[in-house]
Amino acid sequence: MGVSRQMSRLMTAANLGALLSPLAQAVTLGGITWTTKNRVVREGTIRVDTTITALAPCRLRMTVNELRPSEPALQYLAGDGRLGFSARRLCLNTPHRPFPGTHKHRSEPGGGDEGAYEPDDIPAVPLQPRVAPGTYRAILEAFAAECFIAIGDDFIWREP
Amino acid sequence: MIVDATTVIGAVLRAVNDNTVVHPYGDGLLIDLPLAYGDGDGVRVLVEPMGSGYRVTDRATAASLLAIAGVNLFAGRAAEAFAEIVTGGGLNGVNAAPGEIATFGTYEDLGQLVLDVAQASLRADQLRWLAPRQAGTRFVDRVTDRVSAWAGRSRKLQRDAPIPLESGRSRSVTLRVANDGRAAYVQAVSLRDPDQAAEHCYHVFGLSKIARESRVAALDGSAQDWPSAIVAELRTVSDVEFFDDPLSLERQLDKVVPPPQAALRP
Repeated sequence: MGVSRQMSRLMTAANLGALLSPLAQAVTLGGITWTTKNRVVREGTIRVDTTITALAPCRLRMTVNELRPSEPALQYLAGDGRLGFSARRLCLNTPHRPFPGTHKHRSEPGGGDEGAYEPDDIPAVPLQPRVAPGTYRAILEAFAAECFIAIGDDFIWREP
Repeated sequence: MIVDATTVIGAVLRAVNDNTVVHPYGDGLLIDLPLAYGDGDGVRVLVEPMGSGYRVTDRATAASLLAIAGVNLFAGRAAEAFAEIVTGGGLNGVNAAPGEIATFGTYEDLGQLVLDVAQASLRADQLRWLAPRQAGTRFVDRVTDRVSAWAGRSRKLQRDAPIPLESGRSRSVTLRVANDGRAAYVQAVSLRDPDQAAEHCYHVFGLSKIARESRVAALDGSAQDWPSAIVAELRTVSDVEFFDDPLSLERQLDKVVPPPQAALRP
């Protein structure tokens, strides 16, 4: 799930390659803050500091729909306003042909659709109307690790 | 090549049959249909037994997609369009949560109910084109980020926090930060519609029964961006800090909600 409009001129192969690598020295700042969107969706955001000033501000965003608790989405967002784009997006337990469930969207420089692929580094979550305690935090940390984002010392986890 | 009705209908049904997958889910079944939302993710509806029939729902999936795209489904044209999609689709919305597209019917109609809900959900997803083209980080989010970094672990942060009014009712402000029984209420005042934002802030703080020094109006930009009369009006009901000043917001919050004593020791 997510925004498919990807037209930022910041989204170049060089910027993406640097952002999604140890070069970015990405680290979270502060805790996760939750808000409610469209009355049914909890949206958590965490600031991310990187060495790539052109892509600031960066943030992690987690979206949990209370009617679909085992199908959350995560995004690594870079830039702001018209220049903002989603560098990586993870959709848990959501079909995206040809993948039957959990998949990631990879941004493609030059715009157009985000290509999807099946990750192997995200904890399996049963597709059911509830999730076990600790699940969302585990997914967030796995997603952050894949995006080369370190969890900062001041990170505070809060449940949605 | 001759194309006859049987061949075409058979081909369509075969495509549906071969690409529809179901998963057990609670008391019901999730159905993955051979249809996709605007971003390529598949359309999935839930069928649950209910009374003498079945309830079919998209579990507010379209509403989630729209939230991510930055469309508020409960205001303006999007709200009107969403209501029209639901009623126009003949969906009775049994027990529906906000944003949920749902209907109820008998077993005889189950296939049509599934298609109706899927179609309405797909139509609602297209409201993503109403998203503002330049949806930057909103000022309230920038204020939240900054106060969140200041609060760290030692002070508790609440977004969209209720503030008690003298009348007995309550309204919400951008943030409440608290520690050891002391709390500050922060209202973000954006430059996007400065008059309206300032009036809202004045109204809520002016009617509140929280001590004046615990109310903080965080104004976007600097003093030069605001008419001095508006700033003076706001100062009669709250403390006023400008976002461009790198330290003043934090200093004021430190005064109202000091860090725990342990954190001050070397």
